[in-house]
Amino acid sequence: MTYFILRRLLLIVPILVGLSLLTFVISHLVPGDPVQLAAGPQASRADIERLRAEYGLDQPLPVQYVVYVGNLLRGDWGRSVLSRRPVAEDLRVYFPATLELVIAAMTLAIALGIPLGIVSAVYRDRWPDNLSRIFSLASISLPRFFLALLLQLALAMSLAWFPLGGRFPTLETPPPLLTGFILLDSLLAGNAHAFALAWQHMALPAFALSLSPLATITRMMRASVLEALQQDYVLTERALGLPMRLILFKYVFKNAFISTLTIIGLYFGFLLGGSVLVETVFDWPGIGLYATKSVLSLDFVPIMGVTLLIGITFVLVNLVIDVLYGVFDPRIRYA
Amino acid sequence: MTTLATAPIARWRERNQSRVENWQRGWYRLRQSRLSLVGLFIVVAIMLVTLTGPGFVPYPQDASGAVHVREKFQGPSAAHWFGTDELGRDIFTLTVIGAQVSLSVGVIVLLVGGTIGIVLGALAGYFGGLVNEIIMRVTDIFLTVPSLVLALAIAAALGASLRNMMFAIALVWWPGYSRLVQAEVMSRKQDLYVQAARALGASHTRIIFTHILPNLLSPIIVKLSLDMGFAILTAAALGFVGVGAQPPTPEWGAMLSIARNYMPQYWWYPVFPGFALFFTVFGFNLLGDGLRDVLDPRARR
Repeated sequence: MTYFILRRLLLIVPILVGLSLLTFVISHLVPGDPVQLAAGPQASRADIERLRAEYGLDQPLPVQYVVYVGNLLRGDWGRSVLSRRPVAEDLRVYFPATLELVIAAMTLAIALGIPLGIVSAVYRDRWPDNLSRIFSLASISLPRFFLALLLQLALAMSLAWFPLGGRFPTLETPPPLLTGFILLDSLLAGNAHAFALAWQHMALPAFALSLSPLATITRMMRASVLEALQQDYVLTERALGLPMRLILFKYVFKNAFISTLTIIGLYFGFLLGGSVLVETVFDWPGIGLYATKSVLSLDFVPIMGVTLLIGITFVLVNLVIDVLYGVFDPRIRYA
Repeated sequence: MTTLATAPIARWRERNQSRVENWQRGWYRLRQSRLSLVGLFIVVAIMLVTLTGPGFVPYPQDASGAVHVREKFQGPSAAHWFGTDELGRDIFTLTVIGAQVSLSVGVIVLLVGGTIGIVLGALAGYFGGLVNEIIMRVTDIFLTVPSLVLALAIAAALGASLRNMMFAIALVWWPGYSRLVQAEVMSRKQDLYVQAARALGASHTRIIFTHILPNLLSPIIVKLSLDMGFAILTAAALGFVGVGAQPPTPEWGAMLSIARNYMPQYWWYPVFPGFALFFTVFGFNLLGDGLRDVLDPRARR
């Protein structure tokens, strides 16, 4: 098992190198001369050259790339042109908020999607299955930001059951910062009031975010349960007179869950990206909102930081999934 | 009893009998699923609206920047079915013309992204070795960042405009196709008919394009139809963030992002373009789901 994990860890090194290369290339796509833009229209030629040397932009591209990666590794992710704050520090503040939202959404999607998928498979082509099919396709097609807007319009604005947005009321004192996850922090502080407030703020964005993974997990689980049900071992177990319930939950579930796990891993990264829009609608102070604000002010360094961070998280999550495969299915471990 | 005019058609049918029968069987199976037919209906309706829209919208000048401030924020009425926006423009007109923008973005993205992906995937799968390694590793890197984020970064770097946004989405769209095609070509290049073609002296280009790729038509069509909805969604999402179409071009995502500032008093402003977006994507997804059942025997339920 240790060997298996070590090999997977080694495999992600070239991917991370490629990822940094990708963001490096994109940040050089910016049309026009970034130095000239940063220096402003009044800058003299000498000023521009000095600034260019200061940013290291007078060096050949491979040298610039090496410097870039060196800086990344040392935790220097550049500075926002607008606020002059280091991007790495901003990301450290905003990232837990996004992660908390995505984990909440994913938990909801898994908790509902897996039973729904099993029900669909068991009642194949009967009304529960057809209903779940329509529901799944509709939820995949519903734009996440439009759903967020609708929820905000109906439940937050018209009915006022939920707050309009944000993560915690500005007038209340938040629980002491320990993990960066407000829900966890308020639990650790034993603050029930703060916990309830945090929940209310998280409910709508988490629901908006969870709908499309919920649909996909349902479909995937249905397909893999159906496939597993056709295996010979199920026939044998039925012939032996085992109750269907036992067959489903003890034997079929395990086999069906493995292929669903892939989707869960893929979706986790996908949601980090998808949360950009939901965060924008609900004013959720995560990296998505940070990115869209930077887009509007043409501040590229933070956008690149967010892209890189999401890429790295995605790679790491898939590493965990790979390892989980090994735990669930010994055949993969020894292949 | 065939007349002169129908004779060529009859001859064509005779020569392509197996293909015609295949299509008929496919159409029969598609008809069996009511949801796919609903999808087909929505897609055809939206295409008709896209093509004829400029002819029937009540206020065509509104889509090209006309402003009637005096009529701003009127609710839905006989004169303005979907109400008016903050500049007094007719939201029905904007929504219909917006279909044009969204559909053309979808088509162009799939055309460009699909072509790049199919060609690269075919090259990688056919030649294998170093070519395969290089192409597939680049594909992997593109797949490590969710397409929306990557497209956002590229579009932001290039500058906000409809064309840059399409370019950005196409640039992140090809890896899915190169993965699909690479795997299929890899498994088919050992087939007997490929060996036969090679023995007859066919060139690599001929083998790839006339012998291998036509066999991949089904999975590619299925992926294209399912992707159409997602490409439109991605475009609307980028428009919503503000890196897509610029005013006065009516684009659903951009309309929603403006409408957001006027909720909840003027609810009709976000609701109509939003549902137009939803139904378009829904139609393509229903159709794609149905086509997959027809064309991909492995996924048949």
